Amino acid sequence: MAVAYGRGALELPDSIEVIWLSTSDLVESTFSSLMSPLDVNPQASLAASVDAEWNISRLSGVSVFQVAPHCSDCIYIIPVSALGHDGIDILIKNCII
Amino acid sequence: MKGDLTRLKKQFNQLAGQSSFNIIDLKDYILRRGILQRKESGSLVALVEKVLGLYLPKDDAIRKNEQWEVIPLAPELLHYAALDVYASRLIFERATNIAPFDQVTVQTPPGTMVALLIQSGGNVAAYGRISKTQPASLGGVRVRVPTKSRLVVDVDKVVIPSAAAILHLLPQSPLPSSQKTKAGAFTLAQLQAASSTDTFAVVAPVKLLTFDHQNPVCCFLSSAIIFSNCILFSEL
Repeated sequence: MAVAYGRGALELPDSIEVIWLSTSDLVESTFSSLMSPLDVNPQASLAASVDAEWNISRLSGVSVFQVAPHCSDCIYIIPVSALGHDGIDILIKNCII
Repeated sequence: MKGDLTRLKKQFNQLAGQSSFNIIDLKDYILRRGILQRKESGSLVALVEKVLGLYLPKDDAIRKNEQWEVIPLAPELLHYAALDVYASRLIFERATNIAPFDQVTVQTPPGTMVALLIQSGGNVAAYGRISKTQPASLGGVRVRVPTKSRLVVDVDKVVIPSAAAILHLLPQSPLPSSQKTKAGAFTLAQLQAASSTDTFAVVAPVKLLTFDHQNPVCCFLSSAIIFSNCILFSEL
């Protein structure tokens, strides 16, 4: 509808790579690498946008969790059902959430 | 993100006990920069439109379905999820870029159009301009304080007459209790009534001042820096 008002649609640029992290191992290795600059310099900071989606029937919890680090052109999509408790611990440890 | 976090907390016990999250809620972030008013929608669609000047496609058939836990995720769902979080990133980055210009300080040029808030991040109580004269004190209220945190504003439009001008404390001879504000200060309506002109001066804490984005032309007249800010904002 807003297009009708002359606004263009927001689109994902070709430079953005969408990566599906299907296991906690993949989550661990990805975020450990992403956060490694902070191990070297504790004063450094890393910003990431996060979002979540869920099945319409879900009364609580989410289905997938998205992380878009501002320092890269990658967007990580994490299925929470596959993430498990280890994966959530990784995200907490790395201050993602 | 607040809603998402609430859901995650219910899903994972580890998060329930997590008290300090390094999370900035996007709507709060935009509100604090005066780009959005509290009464306006803070949905992602609205923020994309407001901050980026773009339209965020939200296909209900994708958003409201039962396929979000089917692995692998369908390509259209993957794209939808990616676009949502990409939109959040763009909004944050764009707001951050204009933020340095968005904080009123005692160095902000006289004549700049500003909005006076009832509280930090709150609703607009009045509109006006930073006064060309910034005396040491005004009407018994100190303007020049060591913290350099006050400005005189020439108010020309009052939105909430009952809002307190918190630095303009009531004198020793108190008004009837019905006319007192909770802060023990004059209201904007009382200051306005005491003025013989259309505008009246108020000493305001800078933390309660934001740039008046509703009047970009006036920003142009105020200063080149603010002009840049408003053009950036209005073209987005």
